[in-house]
Amino acid sequence: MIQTQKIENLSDYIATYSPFLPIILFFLFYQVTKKQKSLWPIIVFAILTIANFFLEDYIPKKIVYRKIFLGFTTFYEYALFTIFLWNNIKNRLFKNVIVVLSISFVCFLIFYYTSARFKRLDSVPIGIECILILIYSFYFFYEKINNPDVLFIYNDYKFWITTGIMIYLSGSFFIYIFANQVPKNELNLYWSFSFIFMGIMNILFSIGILILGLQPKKHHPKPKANHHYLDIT
Amino acid sequence: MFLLQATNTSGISSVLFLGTLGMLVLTIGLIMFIIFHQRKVIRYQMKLQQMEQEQQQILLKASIHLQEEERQRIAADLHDDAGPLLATARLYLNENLVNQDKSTQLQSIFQARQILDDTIQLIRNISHSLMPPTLKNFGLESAINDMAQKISGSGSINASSRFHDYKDRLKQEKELIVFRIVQELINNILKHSNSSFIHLTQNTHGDSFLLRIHHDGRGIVQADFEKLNKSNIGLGLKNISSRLRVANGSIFFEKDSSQTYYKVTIEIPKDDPYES
Repeated sequence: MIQTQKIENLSDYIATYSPFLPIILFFLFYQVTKKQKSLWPIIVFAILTIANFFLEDYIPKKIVYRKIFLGFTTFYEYALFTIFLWNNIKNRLFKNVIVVLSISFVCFLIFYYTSARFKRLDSVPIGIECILILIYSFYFFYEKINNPDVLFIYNDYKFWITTGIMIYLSGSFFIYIFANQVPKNELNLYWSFSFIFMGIMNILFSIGILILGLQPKKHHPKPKANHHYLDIT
Repeated sequence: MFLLQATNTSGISSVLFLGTLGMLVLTIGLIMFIIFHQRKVIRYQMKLQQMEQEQQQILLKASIHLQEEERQRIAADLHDDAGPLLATARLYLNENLVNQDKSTQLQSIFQARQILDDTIQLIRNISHSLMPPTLKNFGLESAINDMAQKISGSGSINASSRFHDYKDRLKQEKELIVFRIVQELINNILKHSNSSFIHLTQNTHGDSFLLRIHHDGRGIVQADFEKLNKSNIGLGLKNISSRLRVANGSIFFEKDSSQTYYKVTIEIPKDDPYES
């Protein structure tokens, strides 16, 4: 029992503090990372995740506040991951599909949080969010397979970030879906898994940022000397 | 929902555990597949690129070889034919001529003139073989008709040509490319095919200029052409390929369905009227 408690505490720490890693690396390589527009949503996500963990205890116990808090969490998670993938997907038609699906999802969120009742977690919106983001991620990889723009896919920071998103969402999918059905003591253990997946995601984000930051700079060599004698006079 | 209501808590736990595990395995499997597939694609592309480079190297060697052959031929023509003729003319017009009697002088001058005329004709022939004047002055249609007439005139083979739709002429560079290809093909037919007739037909299809050569001798099909193109022999065919590459054209060797004669079809994109 003590062992389980230790694991739970450890995973809690991982989930709380691991988002600091991509943020630190982002600002460490700021000269390179600031130019990557698609990276900003990931950093905003990490900042909001930290804020989320620290603010969670201060949310009033009233169901309305809890609904707003959970709704906002689901919304920013979906929005920021979608913005990242939308920026990196090239096909115009699929981008439009993402916009349509996103509008529909937001409408559904508004409807759900104003009408539905849930015990612990908003499983249905999270489930839909996971499925949608996984579809976008699959499409992103499908595009990458068809039009490889880098020699090795793992030299691209977007690969690591998308992999992180996919592992976190696929690992947490069933936990979120069954959160309202599983007994509370068992759920705590599963939360630990979810936190570990979040930690893995943040590590993968960090690897992506590190790869981006350590990439050799592209520079166009200028002629070393001006050979006047070669000019036509 | 029904599943959720039907299963008890331990059942849910196992579904949750197996589901999570399954999702993870699927995701990691997919990512691994993407990595290996991309590696495979890149390896394939690199191999393709290498093959293309090798092919280009062969074509380049062939074109250099043909250029050298052409130069040697011109040098031989000038050295072996024009050189002796001019030397003979010089002999007729030596310093002693002034000491000769008038009739001998006249005869020498006449002989020298005759030799100079022959030399002029010889140089004209060399020049024509380099750039046929009919092609330059009257275009591809006249040049090919002229060539067919000359072949027929030899009496050994019957050659004819017909242009169906050549109101809009190709650019001069493209006409020269087509003419050289036709020359090379006809040369091959005359040398190797032992055919009794050659017939050229021209037409257009959409934005393409088409020219087809028929002959009833021994010929090659596309597979033979591609094989020869990749081998170290068949320099003439490689020259055709490199010329076609310049004009963005294609060539197709086939045997007629009646199996009585061979067809060679050249397809070249017509010039863009808006292109300068």
